[in-house]
Amino acid sequence: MKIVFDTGVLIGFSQTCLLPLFSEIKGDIGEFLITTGVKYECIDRVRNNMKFKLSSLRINDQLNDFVFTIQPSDKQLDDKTKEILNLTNSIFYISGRPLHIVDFGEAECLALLSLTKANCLAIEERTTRMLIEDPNALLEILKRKHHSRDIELNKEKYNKFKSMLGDVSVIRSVDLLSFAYERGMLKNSIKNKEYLKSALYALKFNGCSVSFEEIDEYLLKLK
Amino acid sequence: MHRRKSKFSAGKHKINHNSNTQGENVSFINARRTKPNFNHQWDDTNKQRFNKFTNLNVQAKGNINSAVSQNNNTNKIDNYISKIDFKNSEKIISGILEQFRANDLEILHRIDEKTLEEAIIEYRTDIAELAIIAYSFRKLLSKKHIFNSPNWKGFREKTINDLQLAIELSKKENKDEYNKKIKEIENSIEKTDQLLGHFIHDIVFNARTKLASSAYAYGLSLSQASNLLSANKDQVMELIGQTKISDEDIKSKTMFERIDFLKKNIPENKEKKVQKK
Repeated sequence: MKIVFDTGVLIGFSQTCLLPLFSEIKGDIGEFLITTGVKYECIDRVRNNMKFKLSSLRINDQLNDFVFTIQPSDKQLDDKTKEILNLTNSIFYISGRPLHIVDFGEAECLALLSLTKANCLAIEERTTRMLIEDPNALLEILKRKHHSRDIELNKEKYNKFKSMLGDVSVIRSVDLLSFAYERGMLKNSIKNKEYLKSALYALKFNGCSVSFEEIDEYLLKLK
Repeated sequence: MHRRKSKFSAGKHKINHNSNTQGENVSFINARRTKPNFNHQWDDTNKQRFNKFTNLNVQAKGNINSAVSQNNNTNKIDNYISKIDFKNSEKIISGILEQFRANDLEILHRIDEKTLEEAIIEYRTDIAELAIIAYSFRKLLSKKHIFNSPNWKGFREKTINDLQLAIELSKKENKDEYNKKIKEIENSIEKTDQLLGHFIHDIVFNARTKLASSAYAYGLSLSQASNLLSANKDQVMELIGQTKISDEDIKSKTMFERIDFLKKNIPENKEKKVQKK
């Protein structure tokens, strides 16, 4: 299986020192793809920031060990990215104006998904995830936040976006880690349920968009 | 001892103190709320600055807890905010200047909120920078070790001059000088905070992170929010992890459903084969 990774998942794993787990699970899962934009955001952009330099060095090690395949930027990817960017940023209208909710980085990941026929996107943040899975829920959030304004969902644009993307599923770092644990891929590092619980909470506190309720519900039902 | 409830519900958790076996409802994340009340956190000078309008009403009516005076205060602020055109940089800076002069934290807070909202809707980085400035001024004014420092007077005078100049420059068609002046104001805040503040990261850096996390809460993607405010994405993620944003979201799929997808697409026998090898 091919999984396209967004910056957030790499940062989340790196900040929680769980990054080496990728090399443990890669063999069993398949191909891990990232864009050059993701590489830039994780490594090059924070190279001079001493708070995050260690994190960037760890991610760079993973790239050097060929855990992740970097998809070089080309005209086809750029064109697709622009197309997706135009579509996603005109799905929601606020007071008659398009709301620019998605950035080039996320659009590039979606374009890579579409071009490589990968069917899984690993992303921490909720906006892109909800845009793919449940745009009506995202509309509710936008309405809740911008309470004084008229907000509309352009279904025609959304359907076009969905057909371009195809049948894609979204996972977060917590889902990937839990899956690997259940399959017994991490016997050396995540020894038992208590380790898993701590790792899931660490990922949440580092920005993964998962709720306490979701984690607790999962752990409660996990054998 | 902290004991979380089995199901997280809007951040309410019970904390059982030794002296209080009944426990009390406090926020799990925002520990500041455990302080007895707002007044205990600040001294009189700060209280006066924050409650400027309230105090005026109190003096007039002689009733400290008057709900009527508080309503009047809120109405006054609402009226003031509604008169500002948040699409217009000149009007926003004028508002910031006026409230910075008046040391009014509450209105500065409303200005930074409304300015950010407009920056999100219009996706305008120039307006987002003004939200950062308003937020930073509010933070500077709220820190008594900075506000009461002998260096404050000089910073205040320079800032007022810079803001007045920025208002004039914002009227020009060519925005180069205006952008330069805005950057200069931000640098001046950074320098003052580095000189007088207690933290490694300066107020402007924190303002970018904080406002980017708010923009994310407003529905922008993480990268979009970080770029609008020129914030560090790693830092924004860290802050988002400390908020209740994820807990208040509408759930579309459970963790089990997502893991099931992976299980279906990654056959188990493949794993066993690898282990045998």
